[in-house]
Amino acid sequence: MKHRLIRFLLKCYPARWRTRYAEEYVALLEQLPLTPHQIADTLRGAIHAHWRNWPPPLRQSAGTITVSLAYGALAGAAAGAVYSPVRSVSNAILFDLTGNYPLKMVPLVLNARLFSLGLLGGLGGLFFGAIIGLMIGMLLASILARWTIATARRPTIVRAIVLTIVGLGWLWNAAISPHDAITALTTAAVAGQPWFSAQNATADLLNILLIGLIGLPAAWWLSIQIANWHRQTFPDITVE
Amino acid sequence: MAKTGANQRTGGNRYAEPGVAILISLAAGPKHGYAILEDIADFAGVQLGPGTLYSALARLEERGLIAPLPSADRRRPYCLTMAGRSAVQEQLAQLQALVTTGQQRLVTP
Repeated sequence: MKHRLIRFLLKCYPARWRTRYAEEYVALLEQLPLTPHQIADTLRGAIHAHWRNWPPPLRQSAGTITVSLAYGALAGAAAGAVYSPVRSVSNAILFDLTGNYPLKMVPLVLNARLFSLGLLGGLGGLFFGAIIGLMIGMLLASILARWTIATARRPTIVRAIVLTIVGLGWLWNAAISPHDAITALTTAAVAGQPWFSAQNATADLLNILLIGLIGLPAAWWLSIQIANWHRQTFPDITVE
Repeated sequence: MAKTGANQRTGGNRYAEPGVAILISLAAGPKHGYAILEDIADFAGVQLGPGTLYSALARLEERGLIAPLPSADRRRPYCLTMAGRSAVQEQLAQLQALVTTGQQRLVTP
């Protein structure tokens, strides 16, 4: 059983690494009690060995992208906390009790969407400003290396670009919510029949708002965990 | 924070860095993997895992701080190179400076 496990663990390592270290590594594993902790450590070593097999520029980029995605998740959670409740209200207004979209509302909704786009395009708005401000703030903090809680490494251009792309993706997603909300309110006001279900709206609002609010600290925690894991697993990677 | 000097050579800037512990262990003489683990557990009270050990050994060997020796059996011993000796001396000097400063500041209110 133990020999089979050792063979499996060894297969997790890259072929080149096995050629050099397999014999002595097997000898070591045979001497150790293979506890879950030891097995996990061996698998972590295998990840590290694969990682070291990559060309240095690729390793640097992958490390950078990992940390950037963590920042992106944080930005996404912030946007989601705003996005979810607004969207749930607009859904509650536009959809009837069975969740079906009323067909007779389609022309009106389309006009309302055009109105909403015009309004948002003309005014800009606090919402966009806040999210873009958050992103710029994160980017500047990252570039100035002031934000060292999640990573003790200086940022690179790659990291900044990935952060921006991920952040913009979430921004696009979040930007739909005010558009939907304005569309819904306009439609309801013009039609005089909002198809509004207070019961559904309250349930949706509470459920999704809670998820959005929990998402923010969760993403914060996750981003720190990812960055710490990255730093501990790949201590030899010097980003700059 | 960019790594410099001894930190860059030993592959870390944390005081529990396995690379430093391995270099200190090998400073007493050549050892194979299992002996290194036991030695580090004795003097540092840290139980390194096999994956961590061999990740660090590969890194140190690649940087020329340790060298493999011919082995009589499957267990290959490693020894400290001259570069490894000077790197560990640098690390220890840095740690010594840190300890001295910390102790002085604790004494002085």
